[in-house]
Amino acid sequence: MSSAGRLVAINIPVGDHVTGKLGGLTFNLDTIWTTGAACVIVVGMGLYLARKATTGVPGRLQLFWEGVVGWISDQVAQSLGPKYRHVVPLAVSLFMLILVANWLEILPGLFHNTDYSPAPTADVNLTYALGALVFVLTNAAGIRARGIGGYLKHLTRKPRVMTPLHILEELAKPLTLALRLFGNMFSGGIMIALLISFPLQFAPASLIFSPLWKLFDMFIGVIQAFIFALLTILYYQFAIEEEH
Amino acid sequence: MEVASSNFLVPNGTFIVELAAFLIVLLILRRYVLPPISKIIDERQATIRQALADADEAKQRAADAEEEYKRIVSEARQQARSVVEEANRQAEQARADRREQAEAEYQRIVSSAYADIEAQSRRARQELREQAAEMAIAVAEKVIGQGLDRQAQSALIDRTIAEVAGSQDGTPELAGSQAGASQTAGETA
Repeated sequence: MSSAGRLVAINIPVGDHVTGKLGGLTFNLDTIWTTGAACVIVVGMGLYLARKATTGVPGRLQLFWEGVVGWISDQVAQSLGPKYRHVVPLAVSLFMLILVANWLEILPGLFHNTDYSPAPTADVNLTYALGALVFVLTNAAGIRARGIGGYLKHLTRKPRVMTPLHILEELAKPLTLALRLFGNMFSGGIMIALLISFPLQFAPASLIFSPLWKLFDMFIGVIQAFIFALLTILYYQFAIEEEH
Repeated sequence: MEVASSNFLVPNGTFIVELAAFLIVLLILRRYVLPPISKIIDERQATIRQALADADEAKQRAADAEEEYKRIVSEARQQARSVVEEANRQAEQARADRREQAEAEYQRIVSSAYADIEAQSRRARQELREQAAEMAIAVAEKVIGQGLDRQAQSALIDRTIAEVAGSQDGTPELAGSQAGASQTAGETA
């Protein structure tokens, strides 16, 4: 009872960020740093690979990138066709950046005020930004494919009474995209914080479960990056496909 | 720098930074990273396709060569068989020719020998006839020239025969040729 009471009493910071203010706007500096780290890793890997890549026997890194690029290229070719090859870089960038950002969570806290290092994807600012970008790009593609009239006609397609729901659906797409990723990574971070915060007598359990959870969290990180990239392609497909 | 607690579902200025950061990553990947990777993937696929096509072609070529080889061997076998048959036929022909020639030679020798014998015997008969006539004339002369009595006649004939025989002895070249002819005929027979 006493240990349970202590567990409850642990102060787990939720939504706490190291912030700075500039021109009336608040910036989550920890999120920005970790995002920067993820960007540097992704771009660094990419540029390194672009120079070292060989048509011969590929290394592990090249194999991984080729796998991602190949999978996304196939997906785009199947779902969207050759006209939409420019979606491939978008989906690859989304996958890579989200994956690396998710995996940053397993590092001990470097830029944060707590003992765990939240992934930048556990901040809605990143996921909203990516969701909004996907929303803008897919709707732009829809307008380009159907024309502005066709786009509006698709939104207000019969039965007319469903029009508000169609609009809501469009708005829900980026929101769910953003919140799914955020929720998964955020809760993963809270789990790590909880495991670390076990009282001393539970230290062995913490030692066992902490790495196990981090491994599982890495797996979740892959899944979430995969889902985000795949759904982006699918939203493109919904936006451009012909009326049935 | 401060630690601020706020509603964590509400975005703030970080949103702009995140968007910009992602756009930078997107631009760099699109411009500098993905083209070489895509190119390499395409090249490798082309290489693999080429290798597979080459393998197929090589297999086809091998099958063709095998076919050609079989064809040539069977042709050669056919040719060899026909060569052997031709040789056998020619040998048979030559043997038959030779036998025919030998037969003809044999026939020629035998018939020339027969002709020789025939000629000799004709000549012998001719000579015999001539001598018999001479003898008869000589006998007739003697008979007419002397008076004829039985004893005289008989003696005369004997004498005449003896004379003829003696005159025959006086022509040895004829007797020699006769003996030679009979000897040749005997050998041929």
